[in-house]
Amino acid sequence: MRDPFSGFLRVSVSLWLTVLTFGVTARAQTIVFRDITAQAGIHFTHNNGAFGKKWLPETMGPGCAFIDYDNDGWPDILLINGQDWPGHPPHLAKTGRDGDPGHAKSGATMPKLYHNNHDGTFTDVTSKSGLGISIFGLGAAVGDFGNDGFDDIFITAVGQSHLFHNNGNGTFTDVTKAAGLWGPSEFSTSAAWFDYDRDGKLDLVVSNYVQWSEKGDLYCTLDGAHKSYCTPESYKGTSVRLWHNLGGKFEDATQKAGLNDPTSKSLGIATLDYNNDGWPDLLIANDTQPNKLYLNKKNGAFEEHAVSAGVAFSEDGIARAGMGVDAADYDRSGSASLIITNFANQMISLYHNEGNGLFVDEAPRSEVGRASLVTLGFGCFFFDYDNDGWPDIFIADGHIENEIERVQKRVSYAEPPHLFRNLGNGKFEEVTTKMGAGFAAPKVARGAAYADINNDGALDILVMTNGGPAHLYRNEGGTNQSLRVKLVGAKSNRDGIGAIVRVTAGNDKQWLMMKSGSSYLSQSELVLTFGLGSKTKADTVEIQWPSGQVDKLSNIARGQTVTIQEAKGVIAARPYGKR
Amino acid sequence: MTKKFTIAFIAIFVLALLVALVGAAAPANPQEAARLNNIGVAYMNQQLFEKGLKAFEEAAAKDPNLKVTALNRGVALLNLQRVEEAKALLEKASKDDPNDPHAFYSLGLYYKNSSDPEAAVADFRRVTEIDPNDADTWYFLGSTYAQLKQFPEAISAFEHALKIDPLHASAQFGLARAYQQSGQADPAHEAMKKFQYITQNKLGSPISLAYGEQGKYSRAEESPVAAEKVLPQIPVKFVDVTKGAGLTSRPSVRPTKDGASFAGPGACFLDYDNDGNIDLFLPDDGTQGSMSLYHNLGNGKFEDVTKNRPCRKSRQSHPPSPQ
Repeated sequence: MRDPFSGFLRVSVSLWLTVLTFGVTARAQTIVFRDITAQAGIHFTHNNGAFGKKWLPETMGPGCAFIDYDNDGWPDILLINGQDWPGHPPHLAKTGRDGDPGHAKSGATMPKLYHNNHDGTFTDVTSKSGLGISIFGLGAAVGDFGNDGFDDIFITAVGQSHLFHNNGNGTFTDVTKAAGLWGPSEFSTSAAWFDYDRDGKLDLVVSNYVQWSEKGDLYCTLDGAHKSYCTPESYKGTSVRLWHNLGGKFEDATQKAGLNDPTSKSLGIATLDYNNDGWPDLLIANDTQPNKLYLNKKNGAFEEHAVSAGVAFSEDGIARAGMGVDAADYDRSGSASLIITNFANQMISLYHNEGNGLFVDEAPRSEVGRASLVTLGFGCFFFDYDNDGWPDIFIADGHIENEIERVQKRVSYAEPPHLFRNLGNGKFEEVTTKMGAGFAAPKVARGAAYADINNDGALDILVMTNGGPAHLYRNEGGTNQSLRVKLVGAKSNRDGIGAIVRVTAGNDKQWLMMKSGSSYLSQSELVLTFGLGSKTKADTVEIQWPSGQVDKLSNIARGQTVTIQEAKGVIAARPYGKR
Repeated sequence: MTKKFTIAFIAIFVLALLVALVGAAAPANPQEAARLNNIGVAYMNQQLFEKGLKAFEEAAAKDPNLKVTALNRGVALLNLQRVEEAKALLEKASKDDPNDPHAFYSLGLYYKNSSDPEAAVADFRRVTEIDPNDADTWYFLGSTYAQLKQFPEAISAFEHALKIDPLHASAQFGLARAYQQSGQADPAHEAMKKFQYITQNKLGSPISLAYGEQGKYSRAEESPVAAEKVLPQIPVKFVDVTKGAGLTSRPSVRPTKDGASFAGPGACFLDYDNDGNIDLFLPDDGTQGSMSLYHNLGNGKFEDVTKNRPCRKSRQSHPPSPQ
């Protein structure tokens, strides 16, 4: 029998702890991530095209993006889809399981655009948007390449990737050919918009995985009897591609920018300024090949430094299976550090930027290493989910091989995600199971992104699963305050991509970079969220624009999204809670 | 009264007998414990850590004096990510047998991957005292020093590892990183070049985090089992039976144009017709333009069936693609 007294004791001790925590920090929060997918009206099933032959691209997707395509201040949702392989009988589409009964007739599956209704629900607007084309899509990047005030979409695919121009009226036009992007037939994965030559026009970098074709698909097996998905070691690599924006038209600048590297097998891209020289650099996460770190030489070219900087390999010297990647200054050192998701039996990488051109993988020493050892991570990002001013880490997990449990008992196909809370001293604490059962449930996750979908100042999460549904998690229960910043570039690109925003509040100093890309196949919203804890305002907000312009603002109250225009200041503000 | 007394007496007697019997069954069974322990080791090698742990627990129940079971349970728990239980058992094992490097080594790995690299240094140092000739131990010692940013100590430990195993890829990489981080660009560059030479030419590969690949002392330990009886030695010799077996239709060595002898490209035993007898396939050796298939007749003889069973040449023979 249980000792009734010990129960009492436990309750009283935990009460005391709660009181103490409250007293010290005054911000005890009980945050959960609630799965609101169904109630939000999102009904989506990813078509991975799988029909039994286990063709490599089937297991890689999909990604997703948050895009405020109609500029109403509420992030809308783009979900990327695959399709049936040519000549192979449609299976998902037959039943209309991708959520659109119309597809039951046409046999097609397509990407989905959902409009945010400002009330926690979304409406499928794919058919009138012009995005409903059937491709083997994998990822997406969002950016206003024409500087017309409306964000455009690049969708990566197996075969031909597509560029969609936002017409500003809820419709998009496929401008792939007109923009000069037609031609390359590649296994394109992640993509990112960034202005590498700082001419005010967004350029595009696209990661490519391996040389794969239906005919060239190789046979691999885990158990000697059944085909499995091959690891990329079996295939030849392909270079990333850099598209230089000439003003509506793009030129392939891969070669002249020094990015051509056919040994790369790339899945993730992060844009970051790792040496703080004001010019955007690139981290390319490679799968079973060394990662690449391209330093911007400020003359239209890059120089590769991954080996000498210490991000090419694990600290044991292994070229790991890099998947997703993100960059942020998680310990307020002043420089951007990196996370990279890797394979099962490999920890994720937490490359700490030492500020002298070197990175050191701190994962083994922090909780994130051991906790991520047996999981296979894809989507990943730094984001301050509890608004305490310190970037936390989210990792979307899921194995590539549905038969994996037969051969490796400690590894599973569906896996729980990881949420690591930043403790502020370079250490993290795993809090996944405290976020609700649905959130912690095992999934075969791939892409992931974040945005504040309900204007409450707390970041929500979107997770994609391979061959399964999308999951939208609403961040609930937080009491900490935040300030959100949207940028409007004038001389710089319209989205302010590449701008560094520094916020001080009392003794707290933090900064974030506006960026496209990061995570895996996915893009988060183009709005920055600064956690302020219990502070009532940001004392200073400083924006260092890609053009070189620096704007300084002071005394910006918490609890709102401010829109800051280059060289002008705050041009709009919307308080939280307002619809 | 007497009857009751008798029944009580009998009951006590039966009880005593039962206790004696159970007691007789309980004595340690070292042979069975060792067997169960080794089954656990085999499960561990198959990455079946739950089953391994269960076998080690059964072994410990059979013989509580079998020291290795505490260590092995600790290793299994470490791989099951039940780190706190693992730590307690490994600490016990290191005290039970302070001259066995295994427990110290696993504790070192545990501390290295937690927030206590100083403790890891102490454990790896202890292993180097017990066995100074294990390159992996020196590597992990160096790697832990590097975590602590004690680069001269790290460099010395990596160099020690490389003295024992010059192709230790991880030690070579660690050396390069330690030079990089201590600002010694030239030796860093040299060391990194060597690392890339080692890995690109596949002369050595870095240490992986998978079970069994973190050094010999990271694995569960087998227990010696005394052979029940010694079998008599059987003399073995090999006799050339090629001719008698009917494998003469193709010479294995033939002269080439420049007079040098040329050996065939290899052979493959396979049971192509599933009759239970292993047949023999000889691929095209490039000189005759044909391959051969010999059918095993089951009586020590082979029959050349190349012509009856057309082996069409669909593509050039080559080694299978690596996974």
